[in-house]
Formats: sequence, structure tokens, C-alpha cells
Amino acid sequence: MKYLQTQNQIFTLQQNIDDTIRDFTIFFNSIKTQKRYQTVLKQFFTLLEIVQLEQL
Amino acid sequence: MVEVKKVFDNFRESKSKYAPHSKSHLLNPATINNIAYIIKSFFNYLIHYYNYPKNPLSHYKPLKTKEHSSTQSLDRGELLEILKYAKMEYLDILVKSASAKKHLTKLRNYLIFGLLALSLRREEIVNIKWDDLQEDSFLLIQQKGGSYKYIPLPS
Repeated sequence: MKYLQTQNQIFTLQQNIDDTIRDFTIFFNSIKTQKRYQTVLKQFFTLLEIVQLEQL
Repeated sequence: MVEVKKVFDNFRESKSKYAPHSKSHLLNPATINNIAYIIKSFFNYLIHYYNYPKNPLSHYKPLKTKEHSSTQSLDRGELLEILKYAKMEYLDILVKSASAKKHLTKLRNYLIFGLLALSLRREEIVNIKWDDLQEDSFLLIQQKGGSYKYIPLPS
């Protein structure tokens, strides 16, 4: 069980930052808002040179 | 952990309207606040779903933005339009009706808008007496705090 938890954690951390952003923006109903949030966050993380969640 | 706060501060300074070195990429303070809000809410999401330790922008102070007054007011064009209409109505009633009461009502309306155009308060307009008219070209007005001021009347 512990092994599975660790594996799950590693998998989560290796998740692409773009996917995380997409998961986050799904909470917003308006497509316009979703796109705005995605653009801002992608630009910001490109500036930080962050590709994966574990880099944060 | 990457110093998100530091990067954001640098980003904010480089894009800020007051930064002289980045004239080609100026951003409004409201836009920067908006971006900060988006990043902050993303980190809140990470804290909630991915056990991220701390929000780097939790103490972010929003930049000052231009405040707009919530009081509705007429602009010069609108006021002149109303004045023109009030004058037209007064002249119209002078021709059409012989009733002095009607003449006075329309004249009063015209005068109220005319005096509002001189930036007088409602109370100041209500309290004007004939004696306040000085040499036919100045109005002596008692202001809110009790002081007096002279208003030159347009010819």
C-alpha cells in the first residue's frame, strides 16, 4: 500500500505543468476565462522554465 | 523550491507602467494585479490538491489602480444638452400658453440647470436670494462650511 502511495506521488510530481494548468482551469465555466488563465500561467511558467510539477 | 515570488517581483517591475526601461511592454497596474491573482489562485489549487507547502504570493500587495467614483454625474455635453432643452421648453411655453405659473416653472427649471452648470450645490441654489446678485454680474454664495464666494455670471 505504501509502495503504491509512493508510486502515485512520483507519478503526480512527474505530471506535466500544462496538464496541471488544464486541470485547474476546468473549474471555470467560461471558456474565455479558461483560456485567459491558461495563457497567463503558461507564460509565467515558461518564464520560470518549469516543465514538470516536481520542479516547483 | 523555485523562488516564484522573486521571479514574479522581477516580472512585475519589468512590466510595470512606471519602469522606464521597458516602454515597449507596458502593462496597466490592474492587469498586473489580475495576473498576480491568477498565479495566486493556481498556487492555492496546488496547496489543496498536491500538498504544495506554501503560496509564494500570499502576501502580495496589489498595485494601486485608478479609482473611479461611483457617483454618477453629467458631463459637459450632457449638461449643455439639458440646458438647451430647458431653454427651448421655456421659450415654447411663452409662445403657447398665457399662464404665468407655467412660465415661471419652466424658467425655474432652466435657471436650476444653468446654475448647476456653474458648479453650485443643490443647497446653494435653493438659498439664493435677489440680494445675492451683485452689480448684475456676480452672485454671492454662502458655501457648505459657511464661507462666502463670488461667482461671476456669464453674460
